[in-house]
Amino acid sequence: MLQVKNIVKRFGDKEAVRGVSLEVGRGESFGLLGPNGAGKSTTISIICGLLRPDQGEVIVGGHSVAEEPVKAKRVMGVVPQDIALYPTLSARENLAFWGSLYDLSGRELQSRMDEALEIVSLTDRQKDRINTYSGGMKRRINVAAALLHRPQLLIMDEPTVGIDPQSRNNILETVRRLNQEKSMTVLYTSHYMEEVEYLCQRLAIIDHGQVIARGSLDEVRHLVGTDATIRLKIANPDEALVAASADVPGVRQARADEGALVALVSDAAAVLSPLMATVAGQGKKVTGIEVQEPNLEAVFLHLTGRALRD
Amino acid sequence: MRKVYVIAANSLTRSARDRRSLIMLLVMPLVLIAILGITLGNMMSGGKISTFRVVVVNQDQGAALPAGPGLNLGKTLAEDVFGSAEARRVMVAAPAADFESAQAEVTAGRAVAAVYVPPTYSADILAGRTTRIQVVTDPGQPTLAHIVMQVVGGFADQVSFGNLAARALGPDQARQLLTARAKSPLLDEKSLPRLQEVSSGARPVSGLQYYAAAMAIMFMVMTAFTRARDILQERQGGTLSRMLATPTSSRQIAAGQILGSMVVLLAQFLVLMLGTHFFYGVYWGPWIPVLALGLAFTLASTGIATLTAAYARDPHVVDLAVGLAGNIFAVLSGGMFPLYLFPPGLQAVARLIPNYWGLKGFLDQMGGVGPGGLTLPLLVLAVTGLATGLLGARRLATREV
Ligand SMILES: Nc1ncnc2c1ncn2[C@@H]1O[C@H](COP(=O)(O)OP(=O)(O)O)[C@@H](O)[C@H]1O
Ligand SMILES: [Mg+2]
Repeated sequence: MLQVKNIVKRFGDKEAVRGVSLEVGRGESFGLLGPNGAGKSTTISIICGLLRPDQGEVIVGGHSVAEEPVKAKRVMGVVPQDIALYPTLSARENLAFWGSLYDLSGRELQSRMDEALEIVSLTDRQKDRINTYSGGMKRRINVAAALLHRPQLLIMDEPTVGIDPQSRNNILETVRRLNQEKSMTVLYTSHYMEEVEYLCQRLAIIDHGQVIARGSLDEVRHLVGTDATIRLKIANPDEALVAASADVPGVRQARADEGALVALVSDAAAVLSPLMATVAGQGKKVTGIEVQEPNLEAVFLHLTGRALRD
Repeated sequence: MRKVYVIAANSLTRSARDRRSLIMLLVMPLVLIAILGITLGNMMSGGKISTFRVVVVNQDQGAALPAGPGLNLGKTLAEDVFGSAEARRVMVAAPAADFESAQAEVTAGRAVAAVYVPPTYSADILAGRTTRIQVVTDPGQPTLAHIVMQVVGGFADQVSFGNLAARALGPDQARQLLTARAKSPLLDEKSLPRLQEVSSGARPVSGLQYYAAAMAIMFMVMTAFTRARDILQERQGGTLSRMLATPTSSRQIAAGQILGSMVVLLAQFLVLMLGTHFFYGVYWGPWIPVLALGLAFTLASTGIATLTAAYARDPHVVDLAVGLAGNIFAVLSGGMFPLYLFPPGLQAVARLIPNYWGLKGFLDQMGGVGPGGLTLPLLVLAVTGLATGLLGARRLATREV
């Protein structure tokens, strides 16, 4: 559905995108995860044909964006990072305008607007001007405007930045439903790893304009190793406790750490209860449990030495 | 083509929604026209607003008399008559060294008339010889020329009385008579056409009419800058990017935005023109020439809007230009005070501003100059509009987001 082949984009001296390649199959939900300034929006702009890459090419639905921009653009629906709506027009008027630019008109346009408003649950506010909307509602209309022409490929550039949980859930649910029920292909950009973990089957992690990891969710997660971390709060972890814990089957390593016993394990669910039993057998009292599954945050930290979020 | 209309219609809807702009661009001019037209229109008949320029070349060397100061009738004309309070209400008399340069000023449209008093004028009068004052007037300003002729003619009448007296009574008594009579008021309120009723054509143009045209033009230029700001804001706010992400070409978008500007400007012109016509009874001239001028000025303003949108970067800066450039253009082109008041250099600058040609075109139509006065303004405005519009459109359609 989407092939991005080794694209490079420079702004003056700055290389914002340094040879990014992506492949997204039909019906797939693909995440592009990276911190602010990683080059996500620039990549999206190149995919949408807004920016010309200095190198490389983009094929959407079999059409080269450079050579057949109109055909390629019909395939895509784009949700830009910033809210791109007319504040003095109502939601419906905005949708009518954007729908017209996708060559929709008449009754078809009307029914597509109804449909899109339904999807983002804003049918009852459709006549209100955008400047009376909350940030989250604006973002939902921002999404709706990209759905009118029923795109085969939905491209979203950080569509949930800075909004209320309700609107965020609405958007995430919407995307998930469109992907799973309507088999819409999704390219979802974010710097929130939970969103990508929730929505996407495959992902690429991008940093400083380069893809530093890619693969299925599990593949990428396990780049750091397969281990989960169990942290048990214990007042006085001693040598004997650590030694006993290390002998529990499934525990690879155990150590004492400031009022806690930390165990690296391959399968947290299976190890947790025998480990608890061992601790109890040592006469220690557990006052808190923390289980950390390997996650994308950890992967990013592992790969770059920095946190994903600023 | 449909998308071009859709984008243009979107511009129009948003302009109509923008209450602040609507008040700025429709209500303000209507109010201002009423205020300026009525208050300054009255001032025009009694104040200095409406003054026009006359160049006086006084080469009179005077005539010595046996007793008392000599007689210099040229000086009396130049200083006492043209300098009288009555005359200064309507005209400014500027001195010049020679008749040729004075005539050149008239030809260039910087003065309505040139008045020439020959070196031997007083001497000839006192000697009872025939002599004459020469006046050259601007044929394009018959009514103003008429006022000058009235002043000079009145003076000459008085003086020829002295000329007769000189023949009959001798120079000394003639001098006394002359000095007394030449200074007596030559202009009274009733004999002067009010300047607010002065035009270059056959029909008088009132202060209300003057400001109807001037304000319509000034506020259309402001709208042009407002449109430029809106187009830049689309670029900054991301709606332009979103348009470009749809199967719509950048040419269609630029064409839509330009058409949108034209429609908004033309609508504003029609509202102001018809509004002043129906509410204030302003006569704009024959319909077809006036509409043609309105269209031509719409074209020129659209050009300004397009060029500004294409080359400016910051919408906030353009927003400042709405007021600033809008007013400066208006002042420089005679949209606030008639151009006669301006020094020649600034009058030349005025011709570089589209406002000048628009105002000239409309005033001529109001004044009944007829279709002949239409060609130059129409041509200048259309060429300006097309040149700036095409230049701007090219860049607007290719500029990267
Ligand atoms: N138009 C531009 N001109 C110059 N630099 C830019 C421009 N757009 C983006 N950049 C720079 O390119 C880098 C990548 O930006 P962007 O693609 O917006 O990152 P992200 O969307 O991942 O936060 C940043 O360092 C940013 O400052
Ligand atoms: Mg971004």
